[in-house]
Amino acid sequence: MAKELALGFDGKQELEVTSLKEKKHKNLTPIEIPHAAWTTEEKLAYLEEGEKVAYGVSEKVQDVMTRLMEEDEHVEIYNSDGEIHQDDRCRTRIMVLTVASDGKQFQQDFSGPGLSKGLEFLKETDFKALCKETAETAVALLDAPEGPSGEMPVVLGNYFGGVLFHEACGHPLEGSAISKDTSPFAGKLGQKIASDVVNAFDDGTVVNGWGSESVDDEGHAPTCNQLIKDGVLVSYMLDRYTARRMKEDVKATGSCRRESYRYMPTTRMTNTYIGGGSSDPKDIIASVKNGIYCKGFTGGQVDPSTDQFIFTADVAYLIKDGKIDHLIKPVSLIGYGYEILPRITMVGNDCTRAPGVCGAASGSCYVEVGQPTLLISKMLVGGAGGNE
Amino acid sequence: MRLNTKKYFEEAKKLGLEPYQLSYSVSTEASVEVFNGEVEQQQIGSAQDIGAKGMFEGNQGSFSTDAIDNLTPAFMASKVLESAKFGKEANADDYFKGGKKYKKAKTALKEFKPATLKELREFALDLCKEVKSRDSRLAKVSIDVTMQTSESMKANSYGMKCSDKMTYFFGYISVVAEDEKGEPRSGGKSFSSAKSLEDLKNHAYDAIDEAVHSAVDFFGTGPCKSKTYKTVLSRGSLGSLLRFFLGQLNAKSVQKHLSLFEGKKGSQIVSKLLTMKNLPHVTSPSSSSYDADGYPTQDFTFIKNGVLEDYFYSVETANVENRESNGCCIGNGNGYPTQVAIKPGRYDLDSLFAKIKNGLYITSVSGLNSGINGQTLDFSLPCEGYIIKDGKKAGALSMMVMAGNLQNLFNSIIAVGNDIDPEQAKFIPSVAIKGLAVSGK
Repeated sequence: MAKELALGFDGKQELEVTSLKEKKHKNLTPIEIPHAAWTTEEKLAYLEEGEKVAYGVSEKVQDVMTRLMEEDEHVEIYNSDGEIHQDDRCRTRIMVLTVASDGKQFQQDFSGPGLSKGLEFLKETDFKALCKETAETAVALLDAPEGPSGEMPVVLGNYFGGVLFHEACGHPLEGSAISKDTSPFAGKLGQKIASDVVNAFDDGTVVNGWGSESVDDEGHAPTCNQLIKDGVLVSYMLDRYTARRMKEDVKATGSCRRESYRYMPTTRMTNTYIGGGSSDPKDIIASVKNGIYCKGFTGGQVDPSTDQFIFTADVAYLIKDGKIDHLIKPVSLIGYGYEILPRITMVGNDCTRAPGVCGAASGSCYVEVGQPTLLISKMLVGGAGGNE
Repeated sequence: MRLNTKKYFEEAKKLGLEPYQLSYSVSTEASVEVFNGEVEQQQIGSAQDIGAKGMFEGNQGSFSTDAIDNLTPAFMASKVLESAKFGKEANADDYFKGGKKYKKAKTALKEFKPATLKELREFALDLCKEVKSRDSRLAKVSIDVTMQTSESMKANSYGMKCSDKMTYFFGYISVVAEDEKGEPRSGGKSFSSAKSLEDLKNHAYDAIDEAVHSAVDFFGTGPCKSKTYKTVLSRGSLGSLLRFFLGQLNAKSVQKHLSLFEGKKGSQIVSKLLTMKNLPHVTSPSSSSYDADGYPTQDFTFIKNGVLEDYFYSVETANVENRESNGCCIGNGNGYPTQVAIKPGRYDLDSLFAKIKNGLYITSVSGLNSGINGQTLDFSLPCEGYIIKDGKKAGALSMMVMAGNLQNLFNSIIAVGNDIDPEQAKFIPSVAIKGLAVSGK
């Protein structure tokens, strides 16, 4: 197979690796309690306590699924620089999905925090409180009216609200799209692409971050890569191959990743977020006369070539006269990333990050998304309640 | 397929695992990606996976791996046992005991002619050149071509054994067009062949126009006014939505009281114009002669003239109701059909436009992974398409959101198209619906 593949390339062999030397990296994902330290019975008991709390919230709670995800991965990388790299990646995530029904309809809510930690993460997490909150939200959604549709101001909550930046701006800033000139941000280094209050990062160096790894999948150490500074595009995310294809003099940013050996590694996000600003989240809500506040999100997707995105807010509230009025049923938010970035007019001081799984060319990779509470002055909202 | 199943069953028996079931697959893939006339990537790869489930003292455990060597049979049995000790209670009768005939699925045709990587590459380069020549506004053209062969089998300690083969070519044309201001628009079109690279070429050349139009038609377009429109949904859009709707007919969801269609067998649940079938043996890469239980897949009508005739059963859910499975298991007792087909109507696409006279033609919906609630069937999805004016396709529209509930949508179908394409394994036609809430301006 290798021979048939090699026959497809023209030209002379340019690389010859004669020896390999191991290169050490700082451990960015230290753990305290390995997954093997608890028995399966102990782990099941932990999940069952949360499940019991969720079912106890209301008779309308129809189904509760709790799940513990443990992943221990040993990775070895041998590259054409003659280097050997090794990394032990340990991740722990706890999840709860609650479905409520009133006999006529179903509603659901999900929560799933996780970090690159061992079982100490379970001790640090109030899982019962998470289960209670998801059950209460699912039950409350049964009585929520449909959300509005049309263009309006949107306040995006912190934590998983960062999925907007991930989808709308993160993907188009990845080397795979940038180096092929198929991104609206290609060739815009040094140009203003967002409002002055926006600072954005892809930071693979966050200790114990869900998207952190001590070395990337081509042997580069991760970096804290500031992508946008005061609204100006200052960097892309690149791997060795896409950096070489760029017109600009740029280097790999330590964010070349893949799900497993079954995929070719390419540029992927790590822990990507909009940095904290100076506004109090209460002032951000108070500044909106009529709009929506989106607190919980289920995910989204983007077409990197056009930058059109969609994501769904599954926990959202109507804002009336500067106050949160009532819960509404899930709504979609649609737009173009390059249009939304200049419309971010207020940035809160409450930045937090949340775990997610991002699927793209090199498989499913663990990533963190994050942001503080943000105000977007105008955005297309697609709720089933219409715009009358 | 060279897997020594005997060794696996011996190791399972030693540990007291009974029944014990194996699933094994091996696939080989050769693929080429060409970007703007240059080879971007070419790969040849082979992968295999093995999974097992088994019962110990009334509980079920499972394990899967892609590391297969002489130690795997014993290692796998020990892991299944470990999993079973904390697994859910199960019923040995939920393992299919075999003894039924399998109808062969048309996934590996006798006339299939493999191609070399060089042939795939030359085809991709030629196709890229041809696509680029069709419209001067095409700034980027990417071609992906893949030849895939795979074999899969299932066997269990009761004696059930079944296997399938698949040999197929797949391709995708992806384009980015730029208008005079440099504003990009992307588009694309997939194509496939069960026969040969020559046949794939024919389908590829047929796909070029649609790929190009899906990009260039939408320059400078915007949304329509927000209101409820009579709408024609393209076959692709309908197929995307149908996937979520049919998830509610999973017998396991029904038995857990999580389906909107519980107790609706024999009742009308969608428009009378809709008849839906499972066709698991037709020429299609999705076809299969057996389901995840190893039970033979079956041709059957599950919605007839709008009336629900049956849910999708596995052996497990069938046992709950003391009936036979209908061969729809997709794992863990859940059910979903192998290959869905809607009985075509008498309208071609132009007649559907004439039927609604004034309204919208939705050609694509996106955001499916987050914009549809699989429990409630509420949806809110970005979409684009064309305006229909006086029964004819007029200007293109983009940046719209369609919202509503899938149950209502499938009830409001007023005409069914005839634009299925069995050669490309497309068995779902376009439809006209009497009202769809679309948000735009």
